[in-house]
Amino acid sequence: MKNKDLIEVEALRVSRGSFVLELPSWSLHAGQIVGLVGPNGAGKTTLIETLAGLDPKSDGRVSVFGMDPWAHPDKVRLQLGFMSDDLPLFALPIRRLLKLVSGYYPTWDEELVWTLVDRFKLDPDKKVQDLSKGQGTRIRLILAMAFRPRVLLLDEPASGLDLKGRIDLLKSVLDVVQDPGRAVMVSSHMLGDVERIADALLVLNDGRVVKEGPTDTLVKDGQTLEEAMLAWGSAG
Amino acid sequence: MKAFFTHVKIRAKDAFTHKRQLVFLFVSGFMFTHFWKGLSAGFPADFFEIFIVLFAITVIVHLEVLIYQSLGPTPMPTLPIGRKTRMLADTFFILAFLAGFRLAAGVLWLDSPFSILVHDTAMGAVLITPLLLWVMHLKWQGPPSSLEHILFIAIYLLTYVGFGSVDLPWLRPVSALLFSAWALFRIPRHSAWRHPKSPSTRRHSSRRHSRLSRTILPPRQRLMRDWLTGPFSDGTSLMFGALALASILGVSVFLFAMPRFSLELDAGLVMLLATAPILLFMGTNPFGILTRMDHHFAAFSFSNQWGYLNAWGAMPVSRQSVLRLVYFHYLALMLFGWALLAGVFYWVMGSQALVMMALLASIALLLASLRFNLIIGDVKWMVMCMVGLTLVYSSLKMNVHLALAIAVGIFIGIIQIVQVLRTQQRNWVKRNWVKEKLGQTLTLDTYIPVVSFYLAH
Repeated sequence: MKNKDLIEVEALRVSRGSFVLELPSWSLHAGQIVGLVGPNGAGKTTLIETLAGLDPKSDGRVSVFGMDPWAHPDKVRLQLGFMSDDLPLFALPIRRLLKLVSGYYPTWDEELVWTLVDRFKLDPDKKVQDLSKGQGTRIRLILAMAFRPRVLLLDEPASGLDLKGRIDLLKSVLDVVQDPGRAVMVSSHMLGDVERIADALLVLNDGRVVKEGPTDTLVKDGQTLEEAMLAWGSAG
Repeated sequence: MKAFFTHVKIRAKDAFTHKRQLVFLFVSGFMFTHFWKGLSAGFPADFFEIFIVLFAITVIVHLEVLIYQSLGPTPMPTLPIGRKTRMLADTFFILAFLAGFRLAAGVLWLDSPFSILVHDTAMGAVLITPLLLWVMHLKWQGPPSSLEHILFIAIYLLTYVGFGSVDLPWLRPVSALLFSAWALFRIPRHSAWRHPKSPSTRRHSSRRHSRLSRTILPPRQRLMRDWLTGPFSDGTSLMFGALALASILGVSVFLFAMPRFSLELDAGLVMLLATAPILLFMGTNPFGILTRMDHHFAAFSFSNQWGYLNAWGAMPVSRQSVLRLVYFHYLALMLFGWALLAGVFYWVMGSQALVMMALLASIALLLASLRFNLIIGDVKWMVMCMVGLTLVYSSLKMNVHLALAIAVGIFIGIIQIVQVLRTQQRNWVKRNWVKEKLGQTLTLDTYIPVVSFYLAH
């Protein structure tokens, strides 16, 4: 593993019923924002959850900070933020939820949390179960970023967000990688947003890697990511 | 170990700094203190006491859900703590609180030597540990209807009842340790966030397409068909259906062929406990749509997140039809339970039988209402249930039937009214349905026990 590699994958195979995800070799470097794109059922969520140690792999090697995330979830998750729009939460008022979760993380950044709560215009006294879909996405984002993780894995972070919310999200993601020791992986169908922030792309289709590399290399001048995806036959 | 203690510390700090949780914990502590003696000395040979002990256990193991009102099968799966460690820490927290409370209560109020108090508390804690661990596993892992889960609970209960009558005091703690080992062995160190049976995981399953192709039937007929055939839609269900049928036949023999046949109480209790899982299974699975419900509330669940109404929400069937059928399901189930009791317990006769029937009918209604997602993990409701059941228990102990009937009536009535009010707040039913429901509440549910009492006299 290179010094700057935060995540390293080799010959990864994840089986879920008849679906198989295969990723021969891939790594996430510090300071990088990787866009994970592909049609529905391509394996984006499966991959991102496997990297987060939320789902077991069938074969191969996944190394996050030099550890297997499935075998050492407690150590890995202290430095890895994961966000998904259907992540189950405790149904508590936001303020109490944040206080409760803060106890688990020595690196919890109270100032960042309240900056984000303010930026996302969330009422801290509102209960999680009373939030709208977009507000639910925002609180999940805050929980994923609050302890300044070295790696941030975002699965459909723009789900349910309005335009302002998406702009705030992009700003927040860019803020994270201001620190060169950190990295972000974003899975999204909002290709315009991905193209705007991602340094590199990982394009999946039916569990296989279609394209991988720097965004500037993969998406030609004058072409959008949407057009490129159509050209690669990975639009769905 | 660090993650374990961090989790316990956070749980304790949160629970003790929020008065609602604190009240709930203390009520649970009081309730358990009351029944701790029975727990440590073996399950008491009294149906109501068993019922309340089991209810208390169920409440206790739902503490996490009740306190945090967790959303989803594994709330906050991204916390930096492994699954098994988290389950063990939760179990430890609950046990430590209950045992500590019992010990403190014993020192302050009970008039027994300290050594006996410590022995009772330790014994009770050892005996309840496997059940706590298992139910925690059940709640988090599922699948709730699997044979192993039902076998574990059945064997556990049978063992304690069976060993209760054997004069070998070391047998129960030893068996408790074995059960704990079984539970610990079966709880995975880590497990996937999404349940294997969740829709998102099943989307790649080869069975998916066959599930989607359903016979085209008019909605009402489909509803009836699913209610009748749903619980038997797989092998395990079929087996338990057959067992239930065998039990009904057995009870019929008791009731009609040999009305004066009486069993020893312990033997009757064993029979009851052996058939309880069947009741539990059948009762928690109307329409056979258990797999469509949230798995963190498993077979012991009193509530679920999606509920039957939600499951049928998209179908062109009125809510009332679903409600009536599920209510009927639970009533039929509880009547079956009553028949079983009446057959097994020779002493259940006359007024007691009627009061018991009323109680079971009320419980059936209660279970049904809980199934409708009306009172999800509501601490107030749980406290009310505990208070109500303690009242029922006390009335029985004093052999005051009128007090019992009134207690049950008031208890069920309050719950139903609260339920209706909550329903109205949620605003997903028509106003006239609320009126109809309120009418039912005030007539049927509340007064069944009282009417039964007068009929009995």
